[in-house]
Amino acid sequence: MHSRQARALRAAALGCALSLAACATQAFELADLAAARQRVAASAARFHEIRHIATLAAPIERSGTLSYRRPDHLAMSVVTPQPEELVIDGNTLRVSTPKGERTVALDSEPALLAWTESLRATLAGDVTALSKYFVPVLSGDAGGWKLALEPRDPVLHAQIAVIVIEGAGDALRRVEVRETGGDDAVMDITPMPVPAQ
Amino acid sequence: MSVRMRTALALALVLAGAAAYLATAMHVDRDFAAFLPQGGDASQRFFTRQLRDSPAARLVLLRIGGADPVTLATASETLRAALAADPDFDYASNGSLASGLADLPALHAARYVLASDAAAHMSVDALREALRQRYTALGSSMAMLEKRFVADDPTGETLALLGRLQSAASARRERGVWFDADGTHALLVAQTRAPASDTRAQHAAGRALDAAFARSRGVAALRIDYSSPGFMAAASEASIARDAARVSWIATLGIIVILCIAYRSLPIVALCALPAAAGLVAGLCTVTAAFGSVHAITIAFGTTLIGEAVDYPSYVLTRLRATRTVAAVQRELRRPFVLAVLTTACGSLAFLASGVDGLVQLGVLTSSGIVVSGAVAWWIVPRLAPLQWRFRALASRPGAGWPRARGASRGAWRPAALVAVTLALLAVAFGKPPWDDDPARMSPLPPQAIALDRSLRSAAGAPDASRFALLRGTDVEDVLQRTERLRPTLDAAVAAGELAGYDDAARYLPSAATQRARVAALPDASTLRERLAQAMVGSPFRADAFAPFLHDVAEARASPPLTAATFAGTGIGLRIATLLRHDDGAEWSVVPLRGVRDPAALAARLRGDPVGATFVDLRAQTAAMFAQFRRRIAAAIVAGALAICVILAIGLRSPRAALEAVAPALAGATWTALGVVAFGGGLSLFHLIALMLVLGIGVNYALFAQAAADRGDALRELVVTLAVVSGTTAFAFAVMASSAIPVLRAIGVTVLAGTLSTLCACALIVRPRFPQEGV
Repeated sequence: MHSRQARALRAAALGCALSLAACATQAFELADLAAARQRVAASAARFHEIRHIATLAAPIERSGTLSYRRPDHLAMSVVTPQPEELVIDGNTLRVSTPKGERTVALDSEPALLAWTESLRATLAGDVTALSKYFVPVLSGDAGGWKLALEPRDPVLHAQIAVIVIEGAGDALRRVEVRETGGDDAVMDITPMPVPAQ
Repeated sequence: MSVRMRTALALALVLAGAAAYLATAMHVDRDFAAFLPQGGDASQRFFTRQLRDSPAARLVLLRIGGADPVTLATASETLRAALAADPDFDYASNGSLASGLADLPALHAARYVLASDAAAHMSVDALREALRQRYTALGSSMAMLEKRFVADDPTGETLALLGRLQSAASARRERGVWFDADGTHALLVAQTRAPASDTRAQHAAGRALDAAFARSRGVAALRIDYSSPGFMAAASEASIARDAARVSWIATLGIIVILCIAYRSLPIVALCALPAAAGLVAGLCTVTAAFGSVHAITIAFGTTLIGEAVDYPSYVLTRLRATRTVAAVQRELRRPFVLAVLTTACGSLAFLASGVDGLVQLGVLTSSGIVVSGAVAWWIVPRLAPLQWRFRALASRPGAGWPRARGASRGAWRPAALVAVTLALLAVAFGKPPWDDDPARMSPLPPQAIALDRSLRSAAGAPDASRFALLRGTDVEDVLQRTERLRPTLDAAVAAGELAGYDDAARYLPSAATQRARVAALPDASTLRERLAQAMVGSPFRADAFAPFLHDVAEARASPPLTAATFAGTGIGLRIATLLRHDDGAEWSVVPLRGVRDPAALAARLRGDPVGATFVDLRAQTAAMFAQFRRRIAAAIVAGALAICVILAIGLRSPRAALEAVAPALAGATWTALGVVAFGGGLSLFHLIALMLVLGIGVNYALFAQAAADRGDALRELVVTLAVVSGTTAFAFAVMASSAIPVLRAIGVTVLAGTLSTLCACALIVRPRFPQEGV
């Protein structure tokens, strides 16, 4: 009686341990990605983007660098097709071109805000901000993951179908914006050392 | 049932009946038009009627401060969205893209008639340049904003229109929203749904605004300031009501205390209020029966003038002694009492000749009210008084205390004193402006509120709430064409620095002629297709990319002109509705002017324009109306004073006695008027109304003083009577004079000074007519 109970308990405990181990190797949760990103204070990358636009005969290619600094600073320096600097700080987006500078309050332009947050909240590992604007669905594992972000706001959803971010570990590799009208933009990202401040 | 009971019961029944009548039939009119003289030109009449609904008067200017620009921009946008969704507001904007988005579909649909130069953008070269710009935009980070209009609007008309219509206010833009010049405050504008004159709704809108800000501000340190003509009107009314309530409580309490000290009987004190109350009710009934409605200002002024009746019972009561019956006192006082009532009643009738509805009402209210007050004081009050009640005994010999009879050489300095005082005041008043017709100086608002409004207005580049160009047309098309023809003149005025800018209905709804001309200038379908094909040679766009553009231009060419109905329910529709008004069988176009620096030059320029525009300066016009109003009251006072003289001459059967009765009041009123000119910045119509009361009261003082002197009463008896009646008046108006509200202060100071100076003049003028022995 006593030893049979002990055996059963041992078996149950073993079963639990095995299944836990299985979970740990199989599932890569949003919280895990967030935790990984939260350990990154700053990051930088080169990007190469291809835009497919219905009215254009050929896609537009854009390239430049990206840099991020916790918690909400994101800068994008575009080299081609025309030079452009974007600095996103908090709620402000500042765009400078050789022709001039323009500042936008992000929450006054929902499409821009969503695009910004998809990138910035992912970089910050801010699940709350992500979930505020999108329904996030994560697939894959730590070695190669894919985060699909579907806009919650119907107005925004009428413009953007989904934003898919791919990566490995705490690094982003690719950001794809699929528009409802059929246009899309795919941005490939190559990590590079964070430039000294 | 005793006589007292029956009288009380009958009076209660009559008052209850009158109150029931007033409750059902009386309609209080708050339309200022009732106080404006008839006539005037068409534009004056238009604004008189539209005053309550002037578009600029509903515009609320807001600023948020107390944080860094990023926080302010966020708060500005949150508040804008909250106000845009609030039913108390028609419209809210902070310059952000989102605030313009609601109008975007309407602008987009109407782009080829709203844009003045769309056709010029459709040459081969212009198209080629436009395509190059669009391609650059598609490669930029802001592509998301621009690309929705690329296929159907490659020349960029929609976004250009959005930018142009939104920049009507010339504020600086930061972080996408309007900021003031030094970047410390985010600026917003909103428009209340209710007209500015609906003070209750304005008050509600103010509360809704506060609540929206409290909900949306997030950071506790944020501060909001806002101002609008409607809110200012609501605030003035509230502060007047507050102060009037305070004044009337303190004054009533003080009068009760004075009367209690004098009479030592609460029933008697209560009876003193009866004639004035009955008179007011009777006056209101008469006006209601005659006119159907009573104007709020009539009630306020009428109550002031009927206030004289509070004195009536005291003239009788202070003479009731143990040795005298009511009948005996009334026999002695009959003539001065009847004359006191008649002079005021007839003096007020002078208002009937003014030709201004509100003033005619005031005349009817006062004269009927005073007659009823007199009747109640004479016949009812003695019957209701406790039978055994008598005024305190005054130990004094008949005829004692008077100065020497007239003719004695010792009194010769008295007329000289009268003349000397008058000349002294005249000397100080000489050269100062006699009249004060500036409505702004009558504003009950604290100077900070007015300064805030001015600074918000200049920061936001909002139109002056009081200056417009006004055009009149036979129909909408006619008035829109005139509005368009006026533009070169206004642009020239802007160039000459006479004003900073303007807004007009044709910006949002061009005349049908202009619309037709604009679409006729657009290339036809085959021309445009050909030009586009040429422009697209070597371009990165697909050959069929701009099919929607070709379609929309062809459709614009074929469509009938847009009307105001096209924009119903949009912000643009609201702008049109406020700038284009239908009134009195004509269509009017209101052109709000911004930053008018040289009104005279601008008015002359508009007069010279054959299109027939009128320059309307609401503030100057209101001042002119005040002046006209004031002149009519002044005329009524002169006529009233003459009527009083005639009545006194007949009633006293002696021109000399009549002169003696009227001189103190005239002297008191003259001194007060000169005093106001000398030390108070000029006489306003409110001072004049108060002077009318001074005349009425002053004649009463002199009549009763004269009667006492002729009867041979002891001077002390007269002094006690005058102390009671002038004490209550002086106290009540002294409290009013302490008010912060300019109108109440003007009336209070005038009546206080008038009462005291009339008493002084009485002392100098009224002499006993019989030989007496001296003290």
